[in-house]
Amino acid sequence: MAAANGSSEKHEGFEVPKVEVKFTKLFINGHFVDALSGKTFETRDPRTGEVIARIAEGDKADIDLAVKAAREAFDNGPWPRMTGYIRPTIYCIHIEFIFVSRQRVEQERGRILHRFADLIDQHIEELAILDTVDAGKLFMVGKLRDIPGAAHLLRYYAGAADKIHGATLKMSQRMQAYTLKEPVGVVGHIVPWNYPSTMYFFKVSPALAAGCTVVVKPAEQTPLSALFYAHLAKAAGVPDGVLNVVPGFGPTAGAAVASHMDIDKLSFTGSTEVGRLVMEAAAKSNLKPVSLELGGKSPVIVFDDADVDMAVNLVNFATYTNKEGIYDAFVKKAAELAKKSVVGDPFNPRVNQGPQARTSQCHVDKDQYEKVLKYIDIGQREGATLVTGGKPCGDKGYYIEPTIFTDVKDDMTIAQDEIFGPVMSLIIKFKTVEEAIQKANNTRYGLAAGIVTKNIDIANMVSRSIRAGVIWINCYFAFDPDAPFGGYKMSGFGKDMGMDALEKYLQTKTVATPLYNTPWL
Amino acid sequence: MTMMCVLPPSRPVSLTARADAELRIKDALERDISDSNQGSILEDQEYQLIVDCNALSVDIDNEITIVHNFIRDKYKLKHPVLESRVHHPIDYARVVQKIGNEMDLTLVDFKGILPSADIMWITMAESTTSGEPLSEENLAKTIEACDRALNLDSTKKKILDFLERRIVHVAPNLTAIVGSAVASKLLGTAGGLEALAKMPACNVLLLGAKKKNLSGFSTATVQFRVGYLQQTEIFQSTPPSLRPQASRLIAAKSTLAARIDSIRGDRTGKAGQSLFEEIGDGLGKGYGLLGQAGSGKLRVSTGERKLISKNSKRFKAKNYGSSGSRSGLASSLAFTPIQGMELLNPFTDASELPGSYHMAARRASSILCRRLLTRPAAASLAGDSALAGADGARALLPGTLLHGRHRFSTAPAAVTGAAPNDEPIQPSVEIKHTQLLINGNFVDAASGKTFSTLDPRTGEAIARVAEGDAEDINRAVAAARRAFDEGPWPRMSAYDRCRVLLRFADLIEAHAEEIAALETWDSGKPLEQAAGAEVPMVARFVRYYAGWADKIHGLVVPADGPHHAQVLHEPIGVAGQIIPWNFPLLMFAWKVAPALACGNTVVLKTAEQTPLSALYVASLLHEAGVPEGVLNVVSGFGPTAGAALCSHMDVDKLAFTGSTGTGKIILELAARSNLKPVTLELGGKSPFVVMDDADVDQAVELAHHAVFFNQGQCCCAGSRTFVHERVYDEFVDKSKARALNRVVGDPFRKGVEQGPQIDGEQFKKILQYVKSGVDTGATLVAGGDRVGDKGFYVHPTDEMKIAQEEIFGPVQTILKFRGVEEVIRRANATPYGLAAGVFTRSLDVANTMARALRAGTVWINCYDVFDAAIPFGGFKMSGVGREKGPYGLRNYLQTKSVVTPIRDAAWL
Repeated sequence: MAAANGSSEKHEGFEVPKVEVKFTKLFINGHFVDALSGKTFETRDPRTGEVIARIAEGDKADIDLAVKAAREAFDNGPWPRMTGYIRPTIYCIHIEFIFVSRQRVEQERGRILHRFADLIDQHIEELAILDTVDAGKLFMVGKLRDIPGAAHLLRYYAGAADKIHGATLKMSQRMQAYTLKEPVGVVGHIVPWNYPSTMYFFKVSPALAAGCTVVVKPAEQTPLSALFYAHLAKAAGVPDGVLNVVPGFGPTAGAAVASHMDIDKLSFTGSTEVGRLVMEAAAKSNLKPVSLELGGKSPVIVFDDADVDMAVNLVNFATYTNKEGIYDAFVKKAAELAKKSVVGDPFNPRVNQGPQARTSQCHVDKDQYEKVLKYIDIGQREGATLVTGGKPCGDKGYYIEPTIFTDVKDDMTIAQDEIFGPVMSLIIKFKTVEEAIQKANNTRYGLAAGIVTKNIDIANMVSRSIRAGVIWINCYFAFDPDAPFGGYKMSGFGKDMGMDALEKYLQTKTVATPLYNTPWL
Repeated sequence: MTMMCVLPPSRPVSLTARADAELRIKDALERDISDSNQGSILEDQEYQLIVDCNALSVDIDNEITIVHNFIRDKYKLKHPVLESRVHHPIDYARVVQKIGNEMDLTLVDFKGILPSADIMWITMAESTTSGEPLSEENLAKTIEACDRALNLDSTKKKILDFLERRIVHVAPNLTAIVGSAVASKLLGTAGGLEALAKMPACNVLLLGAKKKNLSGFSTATVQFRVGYLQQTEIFQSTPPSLRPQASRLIAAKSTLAARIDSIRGDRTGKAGQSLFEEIGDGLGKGYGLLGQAGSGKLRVSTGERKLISKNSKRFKAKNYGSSGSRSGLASSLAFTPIQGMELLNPFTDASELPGSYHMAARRASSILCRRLLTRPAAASLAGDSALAGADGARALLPGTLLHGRHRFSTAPAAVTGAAPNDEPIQPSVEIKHTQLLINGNFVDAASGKTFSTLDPRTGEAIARVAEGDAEDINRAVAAARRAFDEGPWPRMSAYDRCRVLLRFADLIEAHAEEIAALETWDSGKPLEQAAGAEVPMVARFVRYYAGWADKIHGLVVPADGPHHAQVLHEPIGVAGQIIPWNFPLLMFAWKVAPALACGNTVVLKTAEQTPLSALYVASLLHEAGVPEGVLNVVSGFGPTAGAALCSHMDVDKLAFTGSTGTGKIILELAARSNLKPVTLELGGKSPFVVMDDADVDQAVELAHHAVFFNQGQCCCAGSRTFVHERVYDEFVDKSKARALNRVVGDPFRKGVEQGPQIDGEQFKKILQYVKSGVDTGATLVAGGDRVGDKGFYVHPTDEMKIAQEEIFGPVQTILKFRGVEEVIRRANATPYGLAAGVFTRSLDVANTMARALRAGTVWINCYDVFDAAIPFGGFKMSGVGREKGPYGLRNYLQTKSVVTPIRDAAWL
């Protein structure tokens, strides 16, 4: 194990940028305000366990306020009534008119979102720092991928704002009919801590593009960048009340969002257990439609014709299924790679090496840290072989070594539960394709799956046969704003990203009227 | 004592000389002028006095310049940029006096000293520049110098007033041509009327040229050497391109007039008058299609002295500018039609006047119009004109014309009444690119040839543009081919292409003003239309298709058997695009934006009438980061460059917007070469149907815009207006009134709704159609003449040519109908099918018509609604394919089905 520095203060060869936390209050109706209760909670630097800032702690009363603002902004505000793009009326050339229309051109959702994206581009470093100190995200990854990716998502949906098409219908009677796609209303978003920026824009950007107003509850572990984004949105021209951010805890603020009678739509990303609670609360309140992006235990199936190096490099904390013939070679290489992986301060660019570094080596808080260690312990007790790792590292902060288990059985806890840590379970060897499919589908989850093969027939057949929302063939984590992402089975329903995500935030209205004396239908 | 260090001691105008002159002037004013003085001009006391006065005024000018330089030097510290905006020495002195050491200019009231635009500019400039207060001593000196300048100016004003009143006696004919101020200066500089009379015209032209700062009061440099004559109204009201010609003409005629005056020839000034009209005639010929003219004969008066002096005072009530420089600074363009005068008697039958006389008067008056409107004092109507009298008098008070405006008119009411002596309407844009854009570089044509692109206002050349032909098309296609086959553009991620296009849109917005000015200059469309609507729409189009780049989805198809089938949409390759002149920039955006978003490379041929704006924005696209060879722009003519593009074997796709006739040729060339797919957006004769339940006022307004928008040069112009018989008469009356209120004029002028037609050929064609309409029995209700370019017909039958063929000009035909079925039949009885308008409040009629009309777009209770997302294109002979919206992408995408068997899949 290459030992990297666990403590951030004494760093060598890299710089820890100055961390400045500007926004710690709730963002409601265009203003940063204290919680009504006056309470605050601390957010800690996972590198050191030290307190970074005290954040206003929103609860039910604050959620009520935020929803009221969002309701007002939706019912009476300009946002849902803006066009995809104001059309300058070309035949009317009064000078007064031109003046007015130039003003109005600015008030258009697509252009405001473009400006929002430009502002994010201007603050990449600052935002990446916030995610690093708040969520332990690798600084370089944040700077090069997560934050530009957030701007990319925004631009994608800015371009989609004027491409929300209804349809004219072919009626079987003498009728003309068409559909209108209308924004659903006030949307509640509950965002997780694993990708604070990416998840935030998974949720917020299509909702805003559709013309909805939103109330976001970021994870209590990672409120900092969410509040910063709210500030940027306001600067870009998003009207007051359209975007509200209320940091707080699930049982108080989160529950209030889920059961609010004035929220028209709820979108949640998080664990399956909490997803169940969220849906229950929605059912018990106003039957608001819910979309859930929940946990997964995604298989990666490595076939015997696969390039082992590539396969090892592709895979992260997915559960493994391997064709017998290459099992041993795969385990050996995976272990070598895990040992080479540098665990350390996320501001250290060297830590960016190795596939493990791409996900959370460092855990966001102590609970999660202890949970992962517990799973490692269970894995060993249930008879899996620990090939490498399995211990905490560093004397400070929440670091865990990359860990690989082999000889994992289908029914072991570490094969069934989502661990959400740097633990790779190399399980069942398989002999046939059918067996691999059957074993891969043998899970409650269906979020994603990876296939590593050179054979086109296997690729096509397996990708259709696995019950999962995304199939990555000879790649993994191939996320793209145009590619919908979301689960089958207990991994949730409703897609993030792509034009599909817009559907979550749109209502369909059919308009029909009889036709008389028409030459065609 | 202070002044001694201020001024060089060389030529201060002595106070005694000034006092003396003032005395003599006063004295002379009290005397009566004897018209009967028959002796030599040299013996005329009046004449001597004039010569002296003039010499004095030139001296004063000199001194003002010196004082001005002093003030500028001192005051630069306080307000460094003031002199760059306020050129006039007297204005400058007034402003300096007003500001003093005040640092916050918002506290200074400039009202009456400067035009409001200047006030704003100066106030803003002050806040962004670093001026420092002057020392007490320097401030005192500066203010004293200002006082002195103003003092000198007021003396000069008195002298010039005097001169202007009297010069007409000495040199009535010369005055008739160049105005009294210039006449007196010419006399003074030449050394008297006799000397002037002996001078060759070319020397008269140069009189005063070296001292351009003295009397012109302009620090702007003159492009060619003209002296005092450039201060004449007629010179100033000539477009810059015609000025060399104009100045020679004026010089020649002025010399003639001076000779007549020196021998005391025609004391009435009529000879000068006719000479003046000859200048107008001579220049009028150069105007080509733009013979804007008044319908009355208007002349400069040399009689009515009382009127002159009275009105001069009124004119001088304007506070800014020098009192003596009225002829030199304010100017406009001669061809600006006299909107107000057109309205006076639009029904005047040309036959009331002898034809030749009529035309001559028209040309002269078009040149004169500025003079008349700015200097009502100098003009009155010639008594023998058929149009003289009350109407003419009203022409001199332009404001009154507007009171009769119809209630539903939306014509900007302030326009014709606005002071016409605004800034000279000269496009504020530099022509940067005139070469062909091939492979990322601006290059000359292979042949080295160039052609002129014309200003439709004057018919004069704006610039020489490289003329591409087959060889250049070959070079451009080769570059585009390389960029497509090997270059990064089709291979970069859609998001990267999207970002290049987004940057392009930002750049268009950043340069919007220049682009709009260029577009107006080259195509003659109103600047407000170009700047307020078209340029923003170009940026909008680019953004719209930038957003599509990463959303081009193919379908995954459910196959009948165990097959996996997916559809890929790939860029089609090298796209050849030919765009028209009616909306050069919009058509650029319609064509280029979707092609680039899909990842194609493009060879674009612009219309030879309007090559400039496309070259400009293409350079911006390269600034935004498009790789070389992706967009190539070739200016040139249809039969050479256009045909080469259409028949090129390496062009994968053609898109054309233009006339149906050319569209046929293009389709044929494509068929004969490599069968490249073609999209055509061609002509139309779009019906605009007004039902009896429609809101007539609104319908009139929209029908009016539907046909007259963009000078009628719209492929989708609603040129056949069908009106239900129950509202027909009301509609025609109101339409007539609306058309008469249409503001036609210099497209750079604010409030102008309609500029000139694109070129002489188009102009002649329109007039031929108008004639054909009259010949076949239609009733001409308004216009129909080159004056206002407003055509307006009623009662033609459907078989008439004007109701069947695309006129592409401001000609509206109004037809009567009885029922829905009848109007559907008649509206569809055309080879075209581009667009249609329906005006009705009835839902059922709207639905029926929407489906029954065979046209690519049906606008219900609206017209000309162009949105990036709404597809546009024609049925029948109006074209093939659709542009805009997601449909526009299809033109530039190939569709590829990818099929492979699936073995033992769980589902299909």
